[in-house]
Amino acid sequence: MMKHTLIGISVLAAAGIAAGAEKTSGGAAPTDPQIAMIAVTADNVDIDAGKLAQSKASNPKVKEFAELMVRDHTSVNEQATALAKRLNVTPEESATSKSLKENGDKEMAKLKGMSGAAFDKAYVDNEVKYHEQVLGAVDKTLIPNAQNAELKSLLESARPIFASHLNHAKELQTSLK
Amino acid sequence: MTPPSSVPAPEDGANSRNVIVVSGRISPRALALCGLVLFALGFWSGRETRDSETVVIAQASAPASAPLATPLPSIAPAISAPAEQRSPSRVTTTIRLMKFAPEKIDLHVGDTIEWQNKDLTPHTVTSAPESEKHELDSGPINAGAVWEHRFETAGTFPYFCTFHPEMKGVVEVK
Repeated sequence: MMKHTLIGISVLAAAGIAAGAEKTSGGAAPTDPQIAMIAVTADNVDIDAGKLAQSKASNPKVKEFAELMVRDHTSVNEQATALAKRLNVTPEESATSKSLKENGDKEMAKLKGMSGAAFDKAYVDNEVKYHEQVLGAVDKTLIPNAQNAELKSLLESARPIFASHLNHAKELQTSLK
Repeated sequence: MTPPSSVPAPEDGANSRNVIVVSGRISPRALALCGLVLFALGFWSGRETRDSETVVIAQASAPASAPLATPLPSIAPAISAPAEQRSPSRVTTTIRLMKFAPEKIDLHVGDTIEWQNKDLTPHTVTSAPESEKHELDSGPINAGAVWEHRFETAGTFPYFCTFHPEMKGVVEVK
């Protein structure tokens, strides 16, 4: 039952990112301020989930992964925020960033009601799906539409970090089976 | 002015050879002084011979077209430049896009590597578990920060990032 719920949340999250991408292909490409907000929101959603996992996970490897997510996404967010400030860009909400936030909140609510091995598995399963979706958005929407060279470079630098997280989460997922 | 009585006045151009003729009784003290002077001259002569031998050795390894009568000063630097006297160098490794670049570095003892983190996240430079010498332990190197290490001994130093274990590098020190 819980598994189905989590999958449902992940699908919703995917739909949120995909909706942003479709909107882009329809001609309303996200602006740089919107891209900055999407990147910051995606980071914040994963930081919140990671902080929860740091306190609730029972498996030491899951705890360690959660610590990595908090450390890396916090650092990426600091760089993104500093860049936005330097470029005098105020991050701007969009349908995609709102969807990311809403689905992140729902995921957090579900995880808070879980514990033990079930929590570990649910958290790691979601991390795999979340990073797959974020990578898809980075490749198809964010990098292609970023106008500012420094913003584009920041996204390109963030990509291998998210890819590394995805591989790490997949390995963890396999070890928990 | 009258010349000293012990030295006869020069005759028929003998002064051009600066010959000093000592006549009369020689004191033991003067003899000892002469012995000392002769010993010093002998030592100096022997030293010049050894230098000449060194020159020959140096010329043996020089190109065949090199002149045999090359002046000593121009050869001396080539002889007196052993490998251990090279000045230590500083090499930079950039951490970017989740990689150490370059991944492999060859150094000499006494050289230093500076790891510059140009990535968006913290990384570490930590001796790999298989490394014989566990001397690399940077701790977190934050984004934009630098960490350096001087290699005092020869050997192979594999390392990795503890946060992202797929990031690896190796340093060869000779």
